[in-house]
Amino acid sequence: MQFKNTVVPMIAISVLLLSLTACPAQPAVIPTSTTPAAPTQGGKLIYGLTLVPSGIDPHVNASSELGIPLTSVYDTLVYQTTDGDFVPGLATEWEISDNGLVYTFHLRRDVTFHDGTPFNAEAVKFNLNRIADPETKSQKAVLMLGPYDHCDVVDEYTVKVFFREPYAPFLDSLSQVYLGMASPTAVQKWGADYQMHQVGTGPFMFKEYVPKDHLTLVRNPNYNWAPSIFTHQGPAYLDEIEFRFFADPATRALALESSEAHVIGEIPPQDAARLAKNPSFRIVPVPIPGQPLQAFLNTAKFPTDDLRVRQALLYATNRQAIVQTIFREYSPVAWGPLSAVTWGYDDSVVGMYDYDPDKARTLLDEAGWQDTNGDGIREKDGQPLAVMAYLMSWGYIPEVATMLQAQWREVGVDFRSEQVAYPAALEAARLGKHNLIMFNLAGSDPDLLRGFFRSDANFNWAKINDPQLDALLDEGARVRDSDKRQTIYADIQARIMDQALIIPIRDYVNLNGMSIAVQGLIYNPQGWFPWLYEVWLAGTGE
Amino acid sequence: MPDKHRYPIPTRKYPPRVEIPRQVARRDLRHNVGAMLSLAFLLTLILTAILAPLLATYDPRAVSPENRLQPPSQEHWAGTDLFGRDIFSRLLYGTRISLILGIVAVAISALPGTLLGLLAGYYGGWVDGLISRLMDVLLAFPGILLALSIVALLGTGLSNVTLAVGIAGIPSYTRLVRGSVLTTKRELYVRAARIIGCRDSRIMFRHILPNVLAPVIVLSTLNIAWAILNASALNFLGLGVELGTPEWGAMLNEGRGYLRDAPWASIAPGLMLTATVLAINLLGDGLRDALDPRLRA
Repeated sequence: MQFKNTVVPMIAISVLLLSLTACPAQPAVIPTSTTPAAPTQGGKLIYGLTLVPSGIDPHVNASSELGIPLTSVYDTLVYQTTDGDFVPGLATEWEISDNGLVYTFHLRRDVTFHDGTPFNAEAVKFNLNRIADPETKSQKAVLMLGPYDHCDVVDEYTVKVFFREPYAPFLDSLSQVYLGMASPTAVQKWGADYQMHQVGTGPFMFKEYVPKDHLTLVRNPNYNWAPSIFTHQGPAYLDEIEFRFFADPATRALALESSEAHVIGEIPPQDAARLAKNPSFRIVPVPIPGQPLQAFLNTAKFPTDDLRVRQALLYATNRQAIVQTIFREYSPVAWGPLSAVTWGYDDSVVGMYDYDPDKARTLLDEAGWQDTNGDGIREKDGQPLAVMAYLMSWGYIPEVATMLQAQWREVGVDFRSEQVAYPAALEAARLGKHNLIMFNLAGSDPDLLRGFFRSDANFNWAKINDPQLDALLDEGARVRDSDKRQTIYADIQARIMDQALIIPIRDYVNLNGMSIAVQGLIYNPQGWFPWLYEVWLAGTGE
Repeated sequence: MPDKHRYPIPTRKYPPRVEIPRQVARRDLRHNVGAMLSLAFLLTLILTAILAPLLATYDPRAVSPENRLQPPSQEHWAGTDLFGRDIFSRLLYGTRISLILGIVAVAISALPGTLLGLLAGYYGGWVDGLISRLMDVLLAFPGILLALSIVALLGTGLSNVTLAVGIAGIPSYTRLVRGSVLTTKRELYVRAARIIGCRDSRIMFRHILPNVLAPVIVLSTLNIAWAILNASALNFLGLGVELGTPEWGAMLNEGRGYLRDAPWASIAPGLMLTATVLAINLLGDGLRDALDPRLRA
């Protein structure tokens, strides 16, 4: 009996292993012409999602994944072009008061929600108030709304939004799905169950969501209010879009190759390199604005409380080697707290703390760390030079940590780590048990740094308390003049790197893999969210 | 004359030799080819574990990105992984971890498991009720799920994983020993011991325990395989060893992401795990056949 109990799972593992390794690559043959013809109407797109979100109401939930389908369901008051300019969406024009406290929006008059109800100033007021209402328990949208005060309906198609203090990122927030316009009628009708019956004004209508399985959108036949970022008007080309989940990274390339999906994001770099050589597929790397993958160094915990130790860790990190090994040619090396494609990024951080192990050794010597017992790890006052890292398992964090461990050992630093789930990592970081924690957050406005480096910020994992940095971060959120803002954020980035609060690793790049049948797919400035309105499938009718 | 052949003539000149059970067991085991091959393999494995630093061709933790994902070659006998680490050297060091982990985990299950079984079987009544219900609760969960829950409680790390797998193994010993004690305690020699006034502890440990030990040894051998496999599963899930540790389960997991491009990174630790678990099982089966008198025809 015992024999069977152990042998069965053992055989299962080996069979699984062999079957996984033995099956040859089956490139899917999709009949298509290489030169894109005119868009064809119809067809069903299958879009692979990578994470199963815990909830998918954009006003309530924070997941980046929910925005991938729902960007097509909701229109926003303004749209942001890939150059970062704001163009009319549901609002045809807008004025901002000189003190920056009042935004007046003039709305389109021809827009109806998917349920047939009209879109108007009352709907805008309803939506913004819903997000701001503590009852909604908004996790992200309410933060994006900033110091929102209230809304006044001037007439049916004019609405004024009031702020308690100037808030520069507002238009950027308004251009994202989290502040998309939902049908007040539907929200009131479904209440807590609204996320399963979402109604917007976008080019696709929410049909069905089966959690952990699929989410289906169908074309909105009445759509006739596309923003100027698109090249056509009227309904979208696709009949239907089905989103499916491929949570295990190892399954994504396979899903493309076996035609289970037309598009999938977050293809592992190794697989992307292989798919790129296959003429049936295209790899579209999309740089994500916001934070690069970075390691926060705890300035309140020994031994990273010493600036020289933090700087030594930066000098001891060979980012080029890490990026080449794990992310290959697709990701740029990161140098500062903002990735290079983020508005406000300042390139004066480039080259700061370039790999220089000798400099790292000198800094550690100066700080009094010597290897006295010959075990390869430095000591001071009988304490080994060890840093404790809490590692989450996504985003290649364990792989990066493996490289850091080996690189830091070269200069006599012991990298210790514990792999933990997201909530446990947040808790450890909140309590300051870490010397190091790795993280990154996407976002198109540099104001996201406030959530990480302000002394009272929730995610202040560097445990930094710098009044000057606090003042700069607050000013960055208030000032609307873009030149002034740029200078402020340049100061902020320099200040963060001067104090060696983080070790930037790589700019985040989402590797989207898609069948060459997929035409017209572009990504919005946040990088995560596809605009599916103009997508069509070449060679459909299968 | 005819009287001479009335009785059958004894074929042997001497009365048949009485074999003592230990000798029978040893002989049976020696004649079991599978078990002996397994024993040879396991002895090699133990030697490998001891001599790992001498046998390894590379530092198992040394990263060299320029040699990443190389197929098996003369230089790297089992190829290299994502970080350019030598898989062969990592396998050798992994032997240490897996064997020590298996043995320690079994000790953690066998000692308290046997003791509890002894108490439950010997005293019966509410002691038995309490212990047996407790074991029923533990048995209600599959071993791996129980181990997972314990790791969730204690936190991750190799020692916690060992402890978790050890605790998850306790009930099987308790049940086994309890059952054996129930039959053994009715034996005449136990009653005799009681009559001459032996204390309970003496009866339990000197008279009963040695007589219920054989199945415990068999179970322990089999459980080493179970422990290695389950601990590997936990390490595969990233709950066990620290980063960079050359443990087979962790290596399997690291290789999983690039199976298509570098299958050797997963196959090598997978094969080691399979071979080790199989060998221990075959040896355990051989031991059971040899030690269990009921199986002898």
